[in-house]
Parts: sequence; C-alpha cells; structure tokens
Amino acid sequence: MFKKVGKVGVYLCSMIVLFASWAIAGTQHVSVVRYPLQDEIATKIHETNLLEIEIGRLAAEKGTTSKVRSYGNLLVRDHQFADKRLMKVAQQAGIRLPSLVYKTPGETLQEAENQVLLDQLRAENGTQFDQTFYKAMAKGHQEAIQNLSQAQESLSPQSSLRSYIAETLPILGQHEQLAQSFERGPKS
Amino acid sequence: MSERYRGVLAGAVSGILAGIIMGIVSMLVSYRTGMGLLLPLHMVAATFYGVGALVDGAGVAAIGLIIHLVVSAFFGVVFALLTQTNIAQRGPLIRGGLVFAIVIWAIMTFLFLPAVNPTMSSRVALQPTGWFIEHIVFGVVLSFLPNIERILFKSQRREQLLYKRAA
Repeated sequence: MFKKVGKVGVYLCSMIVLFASWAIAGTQHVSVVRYPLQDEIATKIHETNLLEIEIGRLAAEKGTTSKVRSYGNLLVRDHQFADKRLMKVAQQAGIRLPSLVYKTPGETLQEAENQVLLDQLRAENGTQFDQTFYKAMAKGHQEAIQNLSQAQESLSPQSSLRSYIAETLPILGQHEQLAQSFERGPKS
Repeated sequence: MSERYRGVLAGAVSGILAGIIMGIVSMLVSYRTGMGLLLPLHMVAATFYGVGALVDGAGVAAIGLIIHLVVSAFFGVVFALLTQTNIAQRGPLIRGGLVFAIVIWAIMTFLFLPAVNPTMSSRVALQPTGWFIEHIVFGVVLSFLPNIERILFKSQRREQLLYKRAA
C-alpha cells in the first residue's frame, strides 16, 4: 500500500518538475525554433519604426504647416502602434529584437545613413526642413515598401511576421502617398 | 402621422443614437491604442477626401462625423422597416439587432470599405476585434427602437387614445 503511494508520489513529483521546467522554458522562448532570416527582417522593421518615430517627432515639432505637423504626428502614432504589434509577433515567434537608440552612428550602412538623415533634420529649420522631410519620407517609404514586399516573399505563408508585413504594407503605402502629395506642393 | 412614417422616424433617431454610442466606443478604442481620439472620424472622411483626410484639420473630422451619422440613420431606418417596430419582447429584438449588426459589419469589412474607402479598410484590419465590437454595440443600441418610438410619440399616442375614447 505504502509502496504504491510512494510510487504515485514520485510519479506526481516528477510530473510537476517536468511541467514546471516546460513552463519556464516556454516563458523564455527556449522551445521556439528561431530562424535567422526572421530575426534579420524583424530587426530591420524595428529599426525603421524607431527611425520613423524620431523623424515624425521632429516634423510634429518643426513643421512649418499644420499638415506637416499632422503628418509627423500620424507617423509617430502609426509606427509606435506598428512597433507594439511587432513586439507581440516577435514574442510569439521567438524573435529577439535589439534595443536601438538613434544617438550615435550605427554599425551598418543603413543605420549610418539614417543617422546622417536624422542629424540633417535636427539641424535644419523652416521650409528647408519641410523639403528635406518630404523627400526623405517619399524616398524612405518607397524603399521600405520594396524591401518589405521582398521580405514577405521570402517568409513562409504560415509565418506570423509575413501576415504582420501584409497588414503593415498598406499603411506604409498611405504614408508614401501623403509624402508624395506634399512633395508635389502642400496647400496649407 | 402614419404608423410606417413613425417607424421610419424612430428608426432614424435610433440609428443616430446607436451611431453616436458606436462612435464614442470607437474613439475610445482608438485613443487607448495610441492612435488618437479623432482618427476614426478622419478615417470615415477618407471616403470622400482620400488618404489626405488623415492629416486634415478638425473640419474634415466634422465631415467624417456627419457621414457616420447619416449612414447610421440609414441603417436605423432599414432596421425599423425590417422589424416593423411592433416586436414587443426584448429578446427577439436584441437578437435581431445583433444579426443586423453582424451583417453590416460583414458588408462594410469585405465589400464596401475595400471598394470605397481603402484607407479605412486597411486601418480597421489592424484592430479587427475592436471594429467587430463597435458594430455589436451599434446593434444592441438599435434594438431599443420601440422604446425610442414610445418616447418620441408619447403625446401623439395619448391624443389618439383620447380621440378613440371620445368616439
């Protein structure tokens, strides 16, 4: 009788230990299979989101017309929301995102280019700022759409990052359209 | 005033009321997600102004509000005509309101917005749950149609009763 109870006890304890280790591993995403391509794509998106938020803040602050300032605010809100969604996707897919701050020149060419643009926008004022801002946004969003469309193709159809990109592309298209309309000539 | 006309008028008022409450819910959802309180109104205005409505001023937001209320009133009238406003029990009316709201949600999400307002369509796709709940709220408020009709035509009914008694 006691032997039986002892055996059951050992069995139960080992089950609890197994379950606990599985649960802890689950929270640390150890059990999730990670793909380097996904990490790379997500990091680039994260990087772009942070850059757009920073540029949007500058436009909301320094824009000479109400439309430019509104566009800046829209960029901040949309990319903050997009980044929050990216964090969720990354957490589910076990993607690790670096924390990036645009203060010092980055290591990669893209980051360095971004830093140059940010420094230029920080230094400029008035209509000169507006011009640089429109051009950078039209070009930047066009490139982002191209890169994301290519990235989308390289991901598996089941990938949550792929559906994230599919949902994000139309929003980037709207940003590009707005930047192009400003480039053609803002009315207010 | 005929029963049918009263029903239509009550439907329009119920629709506007449901639209106001739906609008408040949608603005609160938008505010909570950090997208700004007025973004839903700008998105509605994009039906006529295109993507530019997203960066336009308060005037465009006001036009968005008017469009939303006109569409809400229209759906209220359709609901009134479908239910004939003579269902006395709350249960069937709430169920009817919910089914009606789900039909509107499906039409808006899969047919109307992608064709007429792609700016709004791509943005509501980012918050599908909130978008669906807003429609459910609309349907529930719309199911109070008989109560609104009773409030609107209280004095007229009293007159009719007095007239009948006198006759």
